[in-house]
Amino acid sequence: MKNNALKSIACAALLILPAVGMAQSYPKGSIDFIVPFSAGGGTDFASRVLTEKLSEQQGWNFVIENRGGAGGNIGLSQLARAKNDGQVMGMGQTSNMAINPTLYASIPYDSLNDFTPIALISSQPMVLAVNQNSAYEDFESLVAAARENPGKVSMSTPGSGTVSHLSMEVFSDQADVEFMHVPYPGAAQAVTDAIGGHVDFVTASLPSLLSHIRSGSLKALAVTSAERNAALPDVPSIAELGYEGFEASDWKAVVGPAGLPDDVVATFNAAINQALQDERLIETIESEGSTVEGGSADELEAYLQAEYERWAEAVSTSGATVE
Amino acid sequence: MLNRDIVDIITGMALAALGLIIAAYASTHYNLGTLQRMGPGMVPMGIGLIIALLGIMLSIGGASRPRFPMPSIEWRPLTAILGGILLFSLAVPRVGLVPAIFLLTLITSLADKQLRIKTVLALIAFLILAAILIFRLALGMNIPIFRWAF
Amino acid sequence: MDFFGNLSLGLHTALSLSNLFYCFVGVFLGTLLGVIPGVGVLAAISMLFPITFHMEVTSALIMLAGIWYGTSYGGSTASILLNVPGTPANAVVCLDGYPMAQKGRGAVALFMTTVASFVGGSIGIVILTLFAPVIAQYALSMGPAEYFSLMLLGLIAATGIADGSAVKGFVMVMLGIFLGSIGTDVYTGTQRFAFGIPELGDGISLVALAMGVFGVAELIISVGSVKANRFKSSDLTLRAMKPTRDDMRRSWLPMLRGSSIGSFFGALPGTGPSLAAFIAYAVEKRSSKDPSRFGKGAIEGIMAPESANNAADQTSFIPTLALGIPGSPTMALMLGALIIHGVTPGPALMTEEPSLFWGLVMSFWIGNIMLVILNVPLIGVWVRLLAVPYHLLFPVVLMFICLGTYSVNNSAFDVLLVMIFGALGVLMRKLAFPAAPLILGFVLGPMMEDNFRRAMLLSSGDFATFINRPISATILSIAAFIMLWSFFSTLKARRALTQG
Repeated sequence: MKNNALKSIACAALLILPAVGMAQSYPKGSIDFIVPFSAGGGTDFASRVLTEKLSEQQGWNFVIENRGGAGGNIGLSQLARAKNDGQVMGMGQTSNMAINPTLYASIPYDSLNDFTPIALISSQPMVLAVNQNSAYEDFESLVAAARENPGKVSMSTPGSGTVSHLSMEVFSDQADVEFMHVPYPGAAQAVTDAIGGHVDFVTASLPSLLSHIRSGSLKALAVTSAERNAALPDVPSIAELGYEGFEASDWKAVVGPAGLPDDVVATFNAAINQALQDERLIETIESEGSTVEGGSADELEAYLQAEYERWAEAVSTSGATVE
Repeated sequence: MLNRDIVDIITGMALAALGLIIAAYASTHYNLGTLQRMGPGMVPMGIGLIIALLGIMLSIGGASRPRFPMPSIEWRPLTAILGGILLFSLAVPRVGLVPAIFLLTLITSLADKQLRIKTVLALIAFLILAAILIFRLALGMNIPIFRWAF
Repeated sequence: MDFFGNLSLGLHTALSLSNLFYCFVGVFLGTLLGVIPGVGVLAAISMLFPITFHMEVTSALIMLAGIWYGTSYGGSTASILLNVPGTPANAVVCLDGYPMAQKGRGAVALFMTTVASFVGGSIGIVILTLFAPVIAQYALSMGPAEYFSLMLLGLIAATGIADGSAVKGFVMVMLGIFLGSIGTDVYTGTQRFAFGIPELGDGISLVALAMGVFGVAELIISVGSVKANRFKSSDLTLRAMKPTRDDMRRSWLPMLRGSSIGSFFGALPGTGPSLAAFIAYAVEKRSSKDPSRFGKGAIEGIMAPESANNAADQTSFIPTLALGIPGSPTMALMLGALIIHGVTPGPALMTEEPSLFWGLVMSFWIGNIMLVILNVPLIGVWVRLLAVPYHLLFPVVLMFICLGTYSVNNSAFDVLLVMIFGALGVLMRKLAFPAAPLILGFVLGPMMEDNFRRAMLLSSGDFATFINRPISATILSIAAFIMLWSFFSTLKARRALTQG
């Protein structure tokens, strides 16, 4: 009987052995890739698409670990505490790298110092959209209505403290208007109530709105990125409508624990940039309304710093906090 | 008092206390808001007060009923099973699947006096194999089999 | 193309060899996931998600959908045999399914739930086939006020879901709502009752709650008290699955009612199979001439919820396919699979991609038939499990509960919650507090609060919004009617008692 137990343990050991003995210098065996959100969301999607391509091109073996919770904070704190040998990587994004550190009263990591930036992957703009039968023909009429009746024009968002919410706080501040913010638990419901006409407009990321804009049930009025988006060439950006310098986007970036060796960063960054050249991957990411980014690790570091400061200001103007 | 349904009286009072604690905590820590813009504290406070009210009703009901036999709790299965789950939850992220199942099954088997150590070891071997086959191979889930992460 | 042309096109697509294969893979995995307590369908679908990049889009969806509705077939198995629900949607089946098994009617219960699943699934598919666009538009007209009224109706209809003291049942509903309020407040981001524990920020997991109060509590109470070889060997044969004439007579109306309730809730984004099953059970108990039979092995009590959750599984494709609105995270993944392949979900899907839409719908039929063929012979296997001495069985079940719950979100904290709720469950059982209302309050509470606050926000604090909107007013008057009716029927019952 005891033998049986030993045998099965031996079997179990055999099962994991192939993953351990590899001749290559980096990576040594499979790479844990932490996705700080539960399976099925946008970050999960981008992570799976990217790691698929990296496995295909580099022959690396990834183990995706979905570690959701607390707006991405739990997964990222796990990444921050992981061993910095390059065998654990993860996907950071606007909310947990740039917004949550200011939004949350306490957070289990320091997003600027606890991570090694590797590469920016993709970004997506927020879109303001109205129901197909809406009286608001364009962005200007919506803003004019909000200016006439402060706090009466209702806006649904995927939640309090999300990029969608905070970018509109920044806009309201800049344009001196006031919308009635109606937060929802996630984009799906926020979009549903906009299509049903229960709120005047919705602000959400492009991927969650694109199919509804294409099918005609929603009409896009403006995008929050500095430039127009390739998926919606006819929709103006808020910046070009006279709100100069306004820009908000939801980006995703691969990061590792602090103090990663330079050669690991260089290898991983090069592999990502190669993957991001792949046409099939570009097509997949753009099909949901995101833009493929890429670039060097240094560029990402500077970008993270800038975004951190920008959102910190946005959070403090909005007055939102999470305790 | 003692010849009444003492169990319901005590449970009712415990619930009343719990409800009041919830209501007090919610109203002191969270914003209650206005009717148009309700705060996060409004609903928990209301729920707490209702629980307190129901608790009092339960106590009164108990006082008007004759004595009810005291429920007995068998401590051996309770502690063994809860302890096993606790160890499992501590072990899985730190040492992986195999040691976690080992600990879980070893401890929970103490719940039943009939189990002999040989049977338990066979059971552990079977469960480890089943877990690997079903969760790792059939469902393709990424739970580390062994891990060392303290 | 005419309707029958579409159907035959769909059948042609679904019957292709590769699609049949993927359909089988899906329903097989679904059954497996359903039988194992705890482990969720979402985790399994997301693991398979990357594979679908390389598959033909129709095959991919056929497979993912098979997993989704397949779990509901397997989910009742453990509820009936062990009083441990396979998925939260099957928790309510424990109430009457387990007593049936204890009376040696486990095989009948398993067979009849398979029938109920098939009937529920079929009715759901018919509704999906005939009315998808109409229902989808109707679902859109439901705003926050309507959702609140509907949840209130559900709560009122479902009080009295459990036996015993009404006060205790109501306490459990309230405690469920309280547990549901733990976590991040949607409106302000405030972490309610999280006490600095980051894992609580997302709230308590329904799986952990259901596994604790139903599963672990049951194991703790049964160890030592359940005798080995409780069953006569004749109870375990295939012959024992044959339902009696009385079973059949009692079953068909509950199945129809359950399927209608399930189809309705399935089509509403955000509600889903768990809620549908609870409400279907409550309606059955309320409309029964002899509600006292419930909780003691009434066959109606398993037929209604099982047909409801399977019908809901099918109709939840209505908002997903017809509007492109996912009603649950699992549906969001399926939408994702469509979008990756460049297919735009929405009203145009049926006309632009007829072979995809109708192929998928027809595959549901095929999948449901496969599930029946797969599940009926398995009944013999499952029932034989009962012959395994309980002291060997409970560590196995416990391991699956722990590992299954852990695998949902790779969260050891959720396993810890299972332990805490297991302790709570034992306490509740000893003090005669019912568990089902706790789960119901937990599911309904957050939706009620959320929609109530949203309705008040949009109406500028005016309560009249619930009465001024026709759909909401209709729902509220049904709720008022049920309340009055049950008030008078208790009054009548009391008078009958005092006179008799």
